[in-house]
Amino acid sequence: MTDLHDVDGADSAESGIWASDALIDALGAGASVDDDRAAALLSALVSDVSAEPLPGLPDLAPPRRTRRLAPRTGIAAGAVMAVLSTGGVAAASVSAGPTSALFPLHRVLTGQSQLDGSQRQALEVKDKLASAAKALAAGKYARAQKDVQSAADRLPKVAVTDGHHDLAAQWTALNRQVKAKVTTTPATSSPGKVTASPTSPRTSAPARSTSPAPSQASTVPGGGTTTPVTTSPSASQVAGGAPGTGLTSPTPVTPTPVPSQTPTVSPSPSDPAGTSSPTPTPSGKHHRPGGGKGGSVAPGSPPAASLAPPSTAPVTVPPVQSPAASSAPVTVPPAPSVAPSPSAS
Amino acid sequence: MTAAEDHGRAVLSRAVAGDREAAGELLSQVRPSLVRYCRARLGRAHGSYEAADDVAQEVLLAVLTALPRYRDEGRPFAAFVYGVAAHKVADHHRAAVRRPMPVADLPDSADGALGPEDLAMRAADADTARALVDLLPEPQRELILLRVAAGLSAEETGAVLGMTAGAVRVAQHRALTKLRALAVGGAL
Repeated sequence: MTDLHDVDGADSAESGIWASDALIDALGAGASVDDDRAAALLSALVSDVSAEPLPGLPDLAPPRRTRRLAPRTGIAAGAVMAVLSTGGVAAASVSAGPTSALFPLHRVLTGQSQLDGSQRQALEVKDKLASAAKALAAGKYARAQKDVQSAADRLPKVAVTDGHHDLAAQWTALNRQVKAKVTTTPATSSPGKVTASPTSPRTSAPARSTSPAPSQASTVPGGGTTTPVTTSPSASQVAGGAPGTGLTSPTPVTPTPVPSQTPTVSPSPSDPAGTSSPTPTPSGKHHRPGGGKGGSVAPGSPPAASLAPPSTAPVTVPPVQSPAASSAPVTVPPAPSVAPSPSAS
Repeated sequence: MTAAEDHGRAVLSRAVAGDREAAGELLSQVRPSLVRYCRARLGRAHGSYEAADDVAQEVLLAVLTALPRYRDEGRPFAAFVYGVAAHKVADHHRAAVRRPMPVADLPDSADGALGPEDLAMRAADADTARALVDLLPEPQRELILLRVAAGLSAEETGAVLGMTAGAVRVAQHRALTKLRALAVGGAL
């Protein structure tokens, strides 16, 4: 300490500067000074600020972490909300069929890039039905009939899991409308002309093959002019349903008047003219009652089909049948080819 | 350049490069003098240096955050640290409003250090010294606190203040002479 006083008391300015520098260095190092008031106060100041323990080191973790939490939390919350909100749609789309509006999403979620046959047919049927409905609304009945027929061709190939039942129901309803329209419009074909039924793709089967009565209750308007002849229950069952699908064929067919020479399995073989009452079918709903006249051939209008030779000519029905028409509306047995009749062989 | 200076440069380089351990060592070297400087500048608030210590912590965090952008231009690292500290202290002064300060719990046992009277005397002398220093012009005040409280060398102080070491020595001699005159003259 005495050295500091010696420096402080130096005369020269330079020595004074160095003395002050030495004193301040000593104070900064924690030296205590008693006889220099100013130096003593500074020494007390240094002692005071050094007395209390130092605070701990701050956390060396990056300080930006807390600022990033908020946006991350927001993003996470948004993602959760997106998952929750779309979860229901995604779950519904997983089971969506080809006719569903969610089917495109279904294909994305399930990774299905190609449609299988049944799905393709389902879409075709859907398109045909829509086209038929549009044509029907536009008065284009021929076009509607064609579309309905086309849909009927494809419908058996649609699997149940691809909306077969829904499409079949739509088809039935639409076909009924088409038939109703067609019957109220002028005939598009000459009476008695044998044409292929637009709704029955399998009407081209030879008439001799069998005469299955369709299990469908639909009949041709103006029916009752022919006698529905049923076949064996097995034949009827097979013929009336789409093969392999369990679908009852919606084809509005009326029983084919069985020619007497046709070797059918008709339960009423003794009625060659088909004038007998309709043979009850196992299902009991093959025929329209016809107001008590069911099964009887209209007077003067022998069943056209009955006159047709048992050839391979398709036995069809003129879609339009006026009550006074002489030609008998004949329905076509649905898909007789798939119902092998025991007698046909 | 001494071995200690070489080591300090190496630590600084690693800290700037992102080495957290080196950064910790660097801050540990700086922290004692920085805390003393902040305490000397800001004094006690409600009998505690807690506010000054908080400012010192803020300075350390600011230095840590700015380390990746630090460029060694030959100046002492202390110049960078106390440059940040000067801004933080100024910010604290601007925001100096009377706010409630937490008070530590009373100790349950006797303190073996200085007694209350001695502590009060030392604190009073420290407050007097701080009051005297506050009477100095701004450059001299900062210079005295950096040299005495923070314990920086003349060269380091000159780097902080933008002065040469010789200018620092001359200025500190004038400041000390003025303090003596104020203390003897009973300026307080």
